[in-house]
Amino acid sequence: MNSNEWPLVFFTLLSQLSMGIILAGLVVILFVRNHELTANIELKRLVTFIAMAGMAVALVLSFMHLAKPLHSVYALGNMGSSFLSREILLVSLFLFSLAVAWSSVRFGIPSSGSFSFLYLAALITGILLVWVMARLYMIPTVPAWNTPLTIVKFFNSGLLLGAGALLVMVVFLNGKGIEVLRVQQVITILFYLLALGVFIHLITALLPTAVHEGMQPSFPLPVIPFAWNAARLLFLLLGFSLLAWWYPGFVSMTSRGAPSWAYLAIFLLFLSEICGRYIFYASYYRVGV
Amino acid sequence: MAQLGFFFDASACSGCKTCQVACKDKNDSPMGVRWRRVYEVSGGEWMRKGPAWVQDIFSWHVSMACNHCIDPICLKSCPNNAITKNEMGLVLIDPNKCMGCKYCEWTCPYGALQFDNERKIMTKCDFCADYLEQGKPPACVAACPMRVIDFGELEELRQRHGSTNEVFPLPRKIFTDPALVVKPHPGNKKAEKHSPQIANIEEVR
Repeated sequence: MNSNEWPLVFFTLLSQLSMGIILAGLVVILFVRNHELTANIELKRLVTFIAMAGMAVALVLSFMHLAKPLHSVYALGNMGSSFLSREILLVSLFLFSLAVAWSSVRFGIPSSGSFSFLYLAALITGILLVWVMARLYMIPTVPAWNTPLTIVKFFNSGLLLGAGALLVMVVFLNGKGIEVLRVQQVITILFYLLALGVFIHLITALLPTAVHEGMQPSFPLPVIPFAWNAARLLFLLLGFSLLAWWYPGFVSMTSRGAPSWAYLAIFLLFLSEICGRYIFYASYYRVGV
Repeated sequence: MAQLGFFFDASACSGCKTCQVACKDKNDSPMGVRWRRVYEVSGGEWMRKGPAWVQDIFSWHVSMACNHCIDPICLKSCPNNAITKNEMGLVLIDPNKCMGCKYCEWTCPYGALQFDNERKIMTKCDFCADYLEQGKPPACVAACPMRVIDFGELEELRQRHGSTNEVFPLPRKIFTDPALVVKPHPGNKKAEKHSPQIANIEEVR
């Protein structure tokens, strides 16, 4: 992987986290089926703020990847055939919709009553963004990326990062004495979302790649250091094991449910995502020369 | 005007790389930027023939620049519309629009897009368009001592030399439909049963 692709690692992960946290928030609301929960102002503020801040940082990182950032004024010029143009448009729209949703819950502008509508609009834009982001990498001449698995991996990263970030927020608010309604149910749902994300990651890691299907390059295949693969798997399993150990303690309110364990578990899962995205970029090879 | 294209005769190329040097010289390309590159392909193995071992090896060269594809994947992927195709079919980059995202470099299966670290933009072969206007051939064509590189209207080249353009290490034409005609080296047949390799990776990558 080229060093100039590091900003892309964090740009894609942060964008997916922002989409994921909005999605995980909706899943929690739907499953808990408690209107009071949706009225939890602190949580709503934090969710939209973290998503918005994540996208703002992602936007800055996307500029760091460019050699001539000032020329990005032309970046919407090829909407007809370039997924990159579409991605840039959706990044801007997603950030704007998150900012409006946050403003409605923070300042009541445009109006606090429109929050649900704005939240859904942001979610739809975020899903579209991750879809376009995945399609951008599905280049016909890059067999390692040109697979539906890229879409699965990107959405699953969103699920894992989003549910993880939301879990940290809920635990943080709870620890600060700010009441999160039905907190145990919320944590249970987030725990199962994370379990699903870890399961999908493990399954996709076992599926055949382009190389298994005979799409060999003219040059030797890129070598991904074993340490990256090992670290990814280790962080993923260790993070989830720690979470699985912590979760019953939190629900039954024993000392083993202390917030620091949850923070550490989610931190390990995030490290695993960084390793996974590094491996994704490092696996690049194209047909031909 | 009709689509222009390159012809390359792999059966006669000696691999001297004069074309590569002429291109760099004409365009004053900085270190690391190679609009034209010469790939050294080799392979084969020893074969047992009765009590003796005989060689069954092959080697050829492929000189490659931008193929000014009929369906250029770089043009379709560029978000800035910095890559365009002119009336002669030449695929050109507007340096005032390129933002250096390098997405085109990821997509091109011919390695035609070369990033200029000094100017911070993507660059590529422009078919020596200025020479064409003066009625002169591209620098690589003029410099080749073996006369294995030629240029002209693609249809004419295909009528004269056929339409092959998929010799190793080049990709299948379905990706971009390159404006290129290649006369394969006879060793190309052997490559079907052995695994050919690029021998000068460090030089062309």
